[in-house]
Amino acid sequence: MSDAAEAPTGQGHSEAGDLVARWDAFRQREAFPAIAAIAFVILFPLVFTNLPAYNGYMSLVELIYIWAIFAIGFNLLLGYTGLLSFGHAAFWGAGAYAAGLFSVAISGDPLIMVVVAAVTAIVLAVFLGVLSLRRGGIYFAILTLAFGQMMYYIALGPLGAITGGEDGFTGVSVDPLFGVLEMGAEFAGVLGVLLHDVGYVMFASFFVLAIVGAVRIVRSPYGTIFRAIAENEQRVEFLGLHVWRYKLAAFVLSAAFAGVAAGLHTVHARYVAIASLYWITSGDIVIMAVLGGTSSVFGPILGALAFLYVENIVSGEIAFWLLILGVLFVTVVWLFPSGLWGLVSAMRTAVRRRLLEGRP
Amino acid sequence: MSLLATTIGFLIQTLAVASIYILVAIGLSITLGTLKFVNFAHAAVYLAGIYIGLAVALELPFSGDIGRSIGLGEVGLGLGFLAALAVIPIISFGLGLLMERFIARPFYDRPDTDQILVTFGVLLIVQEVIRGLVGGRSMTFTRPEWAQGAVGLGPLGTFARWRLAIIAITAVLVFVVYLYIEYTDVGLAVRAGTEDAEMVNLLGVRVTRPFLLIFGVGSGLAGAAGVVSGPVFSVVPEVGIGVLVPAFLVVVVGGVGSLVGSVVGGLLIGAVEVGLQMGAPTWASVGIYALAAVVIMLRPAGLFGVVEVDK
Amino acid sequence: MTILEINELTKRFGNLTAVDDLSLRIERGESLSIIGPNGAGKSTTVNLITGLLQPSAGEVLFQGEDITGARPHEIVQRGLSRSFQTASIFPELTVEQNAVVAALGAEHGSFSLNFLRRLVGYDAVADRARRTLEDMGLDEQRDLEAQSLPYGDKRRLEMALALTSEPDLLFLDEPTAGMSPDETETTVTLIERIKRDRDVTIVLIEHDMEIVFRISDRIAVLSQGAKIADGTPAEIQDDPTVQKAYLGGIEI
Repeated sequence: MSDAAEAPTGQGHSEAGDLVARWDAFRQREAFPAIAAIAFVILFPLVFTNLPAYNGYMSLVELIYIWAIFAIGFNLLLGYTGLLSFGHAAFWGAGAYAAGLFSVAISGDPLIMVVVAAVTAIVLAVFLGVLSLRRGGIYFAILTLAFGQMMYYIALGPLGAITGGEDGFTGVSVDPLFGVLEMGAEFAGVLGVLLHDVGYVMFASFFVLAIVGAVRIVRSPYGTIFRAIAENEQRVEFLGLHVWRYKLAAFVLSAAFAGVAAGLHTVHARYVAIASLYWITSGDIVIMAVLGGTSSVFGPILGALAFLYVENIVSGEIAFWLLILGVLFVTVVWLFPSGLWGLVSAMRTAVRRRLLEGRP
Repeated sequence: MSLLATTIGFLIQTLAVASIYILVAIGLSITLGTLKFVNFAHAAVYLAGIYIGLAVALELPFSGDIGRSIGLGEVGLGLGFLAALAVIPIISFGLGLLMERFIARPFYDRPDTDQILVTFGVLLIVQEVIRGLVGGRSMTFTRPEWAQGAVGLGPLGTFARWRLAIIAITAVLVFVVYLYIEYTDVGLAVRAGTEDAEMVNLLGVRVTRPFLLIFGVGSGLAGAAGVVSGPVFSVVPEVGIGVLVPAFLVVVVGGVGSLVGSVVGGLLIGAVEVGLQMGAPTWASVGIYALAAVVIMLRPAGLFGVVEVDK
Repeated sequence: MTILEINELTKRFGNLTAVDDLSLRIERGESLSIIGPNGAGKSTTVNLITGLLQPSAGEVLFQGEDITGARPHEIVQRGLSRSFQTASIFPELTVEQNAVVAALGAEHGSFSLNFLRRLVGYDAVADRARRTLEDMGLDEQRDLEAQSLPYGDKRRLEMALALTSEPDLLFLDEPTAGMSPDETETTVTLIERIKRDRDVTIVLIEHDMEIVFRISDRIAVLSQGAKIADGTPAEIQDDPTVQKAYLGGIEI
């Protein structure tokens, strides 16, 4: 789990070694995650939509950002605190429906919709967290699964009149951002190439915010305490820390991310499917986080990217895409716990070593 | 309908629903209790039981994407249900042994979350392989003879044959397993193991073999559950996880590691589900989750549990 | 002044009474050892006092206040700390991170909503962590993963964690268990130094009689959940009930 700088092993008199040291120092600065994220949201769509084959499209890029936000938050709970929830669809679905209903009942302002979704998820998380966190390990997993399913069936049946039941919630009405900016309004010229349209800027901004936020949380006392809880919960309690409250905090924080993502999704899709509360959705987010790599903030982003790419693009060619993902998933759990991001990190380390030990 | 008839009808339905859950739950419960191993892949054995059972008893259209490209068309032995019931549990038993050897054993010492994740992944793979071969559409089959028609039980009323058959088969199987656990050496090791696996290990009892057998027996039961489920319910690859959740709820309500608990838990869950379906259908599924949630929160060891599996 | 008072403390597990009507007083600044044959209830008693177990009956008073059945984190915040028999550390965190966790508990209380606060630059915490490591001679290893430390160092880290909060009362649960004679000597010297340099009352659970006699001002002997003797090392040495309880096992 290295967010810390790796000390250069070379003599340092080589230019390459010097460069690596300066890069490391730059990486440790506060602004780095934000800068890197912004660079990513500018460059990624350009690359992604222009691949020689099986290229993506803008709507998929936005979807990736949305799910990545969900996955990053989920990983605060799984990767950092060590708690596996199989019911996070509850927050995703509740947030999505809340945003949708809000848009019809009160206001379709996208920003407020996202806030409503996040608040809904947070409140629900406090409630469910108090109930689910009484026990750990397997019971927590089953309890969260049970609550998620409960909400699914409640939304499907008794509350079907409000939620639209099996058909989902149509009729989401999205107003222009701040009342003036149409979500689909494209930018002209260079701005258009880099930032595309208003909607994209909104989704990308939340994505950057989510990354900055998650990095901040991980670099705060919470990050260290979460990891300590995952490794030796009892010891943390005996150092005077209220473990249960920190677990609840992790749970609520992860739900907040899910809520934000859900609100964005409702804005993006203009529709809420009943499946958003189903265990399959909970399973999907688990796969994304684990596949991407649970040991860092950025792993889940890769996981979301890989999953959605395969689901939307590769599935056109290969029908058994979920089978492939399943095999990859099992392989990661078994042999490569640091996931896809771990592979990226390993490559990065190899490159550094070449630079440091290479020709001076 | 008279009150008596309604009540008996309710009981029979409950028993039928509960039977499937009980057969699946027993394996889960014993594995969790004795080996402290969380096995989502247990549902994969159930799935295999359904589909292989159908292939043996009747015929299975291989209309999934992979199946079509292999070009097998309809595959089946058409040997009938009894043959399937005889063969599948043995195959499932074997699958259970394989699971223990290759999936469970490497993960005994790894944290709970890893166990859940890897077995979930295995279940996902099996589910997708089946979807690839057979297709994802919901399939219903013409009910075989034993599942057709009704049986009159005199003044008690007439009941669907297949419901009675499932109940009878389950009762026999559970009874046999009960005898096995109560009266054999292997069963003794399991009972002792369930109560304190660590102590049993310390005493030098080689628990690997009994554990293997129990993994196998539990899987055999799950396979049998699959065989009887196939012809009577509509079948999709997702029924694996579909049965997993109620089965876990049964384990949790009845108590981890307890055969009696699995039976009682299954009956309770079945009763709640059937009762709500009769009274307030939209709340039927909600009810069983609520029941499980309440039990976990108040008494995590379950009603008859001897083991509390906590971190 | 009495720092810890246990009155008629009892713990039953079904039919088994692990701790039976135990009463004990510990004076501030003294060092007490609790000894007894295996199964005497020593660890259970510590677990009852430190909040890991709920007593079936009786009370625990710490610095005059009732802490019976309180949660462990509350008790630690009040100034009562413990170390564990096993080296209960955070294996995959660095030594420094281990100390930081302890320092966080000491500096900002049992819970804080500081999830947006930078840990780098949280000087009070960093200083406290650094001081603890230096004091215990672990400063050089601060960037190493805790699980890579040799066993003796792990135990020292374990003790360091317990000391970070500068507790008023410290329970050391079999601190030399599984140690070589050299490591044991180092540990005992360390305990003596802690005793000397800090204002902390030490309660030692131990099997090694040499250590017990070297360090303790007073000894309490437990057997089968009850206290059978309580006095100075000299008194305990001569006590026939104590000798009988050990059934000639250990030479006192």
